[in-house]
Amino acid sequence: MTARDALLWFVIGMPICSALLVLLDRFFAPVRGRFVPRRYSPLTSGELPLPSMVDRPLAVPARSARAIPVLVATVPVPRPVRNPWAPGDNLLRPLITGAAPAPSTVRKRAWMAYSSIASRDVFDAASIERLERGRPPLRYNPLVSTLEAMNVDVDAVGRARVYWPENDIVIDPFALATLS
Amino acid sequence: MTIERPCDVSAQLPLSDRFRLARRSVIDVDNQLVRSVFALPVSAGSMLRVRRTHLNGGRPQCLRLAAAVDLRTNGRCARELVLRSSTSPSSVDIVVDTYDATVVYLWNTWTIDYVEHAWLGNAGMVIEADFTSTNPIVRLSCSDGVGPVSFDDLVVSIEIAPLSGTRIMPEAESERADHVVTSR
Repeated sequence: MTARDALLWFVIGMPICSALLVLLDRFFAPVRGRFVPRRYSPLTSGELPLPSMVDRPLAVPARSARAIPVLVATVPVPRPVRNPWAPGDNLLRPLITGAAPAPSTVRKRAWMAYSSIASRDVFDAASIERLERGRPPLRYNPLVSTLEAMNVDVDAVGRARVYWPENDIVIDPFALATLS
Repeated sequence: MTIERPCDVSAQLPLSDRFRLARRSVIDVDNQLVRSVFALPVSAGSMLRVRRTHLNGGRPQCLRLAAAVDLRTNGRCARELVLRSSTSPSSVDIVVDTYDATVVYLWNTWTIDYVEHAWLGNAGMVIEADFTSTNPIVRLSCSDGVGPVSFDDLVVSIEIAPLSGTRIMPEAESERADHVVTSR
């Protein structure tokens, strides 16, 4: 093979071989992943959105000759709160990421809120310290000879009810008679 | 009546901490047995006549009763009852619905800010029992957990009287007719 033949094979054969490889690749892997631009999600990313991405519809020049009517649907993006929950706020307030708080977080908030109104005549300093850290107070139950914690129930609108376990199902036989 | 041996714990702590450290329901305070829970033995066919003889008007005081059998009063039936000073009359008759001897547990509670507490602070009871008479009488002098120890916050006397007459079951509880107890 002379140098002229080699050059001819290289000029003609290489495009043919490349096209053949591309066809084979498409044949064995016809579906490839497409490029998807990353979208902002305040519920997962935890980042603050850019100002242009929040509640701002697409700008269409109204007086342009090429303007066509466009329906722009504005979907309100939930704004993440910048400050965390503090006593006095609703117990069900979303987190700084915009997500709903977990039940354990709601209970912790309830105890922290209860620490400011709990009677100092009833709870000692150790129990108040536990309340301020978001933990329930403890007491010694002589019926079962062990420590037990106070319970809290939070309803759908964020109102809390605290009670000791023994008072959950107790019946006052004269309560209805008094109310009537 | 069995007298438990008191435990020697520090006298500087509130009663609730002393109960917790002793891990018992009875401790010795100034040569006086103080209990957090009192187990009242009740024979079959008995009723409890609860009389509230003294009440310190600062807070609503309550008396809790719990048993393994039904307790009936005012048309209600439950195994755990609370007699609140704000709702119940000063004299209450409670029927203990049992075929055999049983035990009714008694302890005092109090209400602050719509929350009912017990076994906190200086809460405790001093029991004076007289089992020699025909109808045994037990006197409970209770101290709530607020402030220093004062056993006059709630004073209750309980008389164990025989059940007289035939009891009439309420219609709503007719399905539990096997629990009917007649007087003996």
